[in-house]
Amino acid sequence: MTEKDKEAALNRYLEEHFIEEEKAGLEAEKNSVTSAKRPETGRSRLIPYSNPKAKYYCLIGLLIVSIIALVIVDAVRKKDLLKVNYGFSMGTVVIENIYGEKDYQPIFDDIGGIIEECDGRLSLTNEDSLISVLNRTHTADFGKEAGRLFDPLKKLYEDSDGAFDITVGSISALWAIGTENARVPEEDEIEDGLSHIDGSLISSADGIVTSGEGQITDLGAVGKGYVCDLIKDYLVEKDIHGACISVGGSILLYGAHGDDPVYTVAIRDPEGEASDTIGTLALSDCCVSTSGNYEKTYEEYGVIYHHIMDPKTGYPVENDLVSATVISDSGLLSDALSTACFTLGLEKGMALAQAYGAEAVFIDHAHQIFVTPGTELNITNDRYRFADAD
Amino acid sequence: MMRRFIRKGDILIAGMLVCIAVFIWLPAVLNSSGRLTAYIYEDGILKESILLSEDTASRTIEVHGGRILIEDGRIGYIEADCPDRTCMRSGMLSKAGQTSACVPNRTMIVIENKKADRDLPDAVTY
Repeated sequence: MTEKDKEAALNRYLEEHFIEEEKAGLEAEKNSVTSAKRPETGRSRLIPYSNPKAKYYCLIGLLIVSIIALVIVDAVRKKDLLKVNYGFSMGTVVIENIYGEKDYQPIFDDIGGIIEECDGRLSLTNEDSLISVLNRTHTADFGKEAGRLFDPLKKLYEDSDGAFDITVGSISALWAIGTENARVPEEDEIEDGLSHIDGSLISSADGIVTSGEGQITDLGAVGKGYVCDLIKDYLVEKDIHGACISVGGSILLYGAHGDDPVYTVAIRDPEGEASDTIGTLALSDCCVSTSGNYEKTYEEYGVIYHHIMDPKTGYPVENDLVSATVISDSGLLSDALSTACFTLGLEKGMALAQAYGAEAVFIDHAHQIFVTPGTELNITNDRYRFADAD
Repeated sequence: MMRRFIRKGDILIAGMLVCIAVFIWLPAVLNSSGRLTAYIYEDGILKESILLSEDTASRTIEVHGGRILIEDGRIGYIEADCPDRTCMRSGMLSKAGQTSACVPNRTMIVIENKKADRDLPDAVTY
């Protein structure tokens, strides 16, 4: 046989067998089609198993969809994430609520550092602080911080007619309310202390702050509010989702918790314990501070002396108010104004707060509450009521 | 009839999706159950957490500069060497959001309840 013949014979052979197989296959198909619609496999209809390419793309598609879904759900839940840290600094309790940040520990550490450093610069009890240097030598280099810190306080001294005065330190140091050395000073001591109080002698130029001879400058009334401003700078710089920070009762509100930028801040009941409150405020992106006659006290012979000294009398402030709460964009101002307004009393205090464009809540001895027109306070304690509610 | 519409493969895929959903929502569900918990902090570091709703046996815990008593689902300072004793004046705490702190000794008690937290203020000014 020639090659050609062999090939032809091979082809003929293959054809015959192939056709037979094909016929057998078709027969089998015919039979199966008549008995049941499709072969009963367990395969899901969602995935086109028969078409390999389509099956491949379908599975990839499912995978991509599930990844996208997980990412979306994770992003939504991340916004609701809240981490709380409790600590002590500036001689008081610090509570930090950070929202929507998975990497929260460095944030807590950084904020703790900011508070500690600020305390190191401004604390009266720290011998090496800038304030202590100022009080010993009557000149200190506060650098860039000088203008930001001292200029508004000087202006408030003038606007409050001396009711707010950071040189009240010479009187506060005598009483030492809130320390183990708390006592009622003698009248001549108070006379002497008063003679050194004069906020007009504080000046700040090119970072250098100077005070008058014999003066003791005390930033205790503004330190906590001021550090809130420093913390806010940090939160803005790091683009933190949201935060609610309490530095000894001076509150900073920033960003949002979840999607909601409105936080609830309660005002402490002057006659209650740490968690007793009189009402709540709904606020966003601002600072809140309170000055009251209940925070630090000293009792002698049945008389209770509180820690906010009147720079004009040398004695603890005595007027119609038990507490003054001020809300402002600036932490420094909210803290300083709360002290100033508390010292001035209801009428002048209210006028001062409004002159500064701040909102305020004052509480008097008769459980009456006075608010600035723009304040929405929700009273939750039935022992207290709005002043005009009678 | 069932065998034609729902196949083993469909059940498998449905099962996988349910598992994924559970995996996503389970942590949220667990966290929202109400469990009244008291936390004791020493210098900013959590010393101990007590489940007030379950830990009913009476006991005291030594902290820096004082002692804390836990009894009948309540917790509070019963001894402190600080000058002002503010911590002890707060008495026995039992409700979510209540706090008591001994600032000179840098210890504090905080009560939290995950479920009821929505009703509590975010901060208290004082």
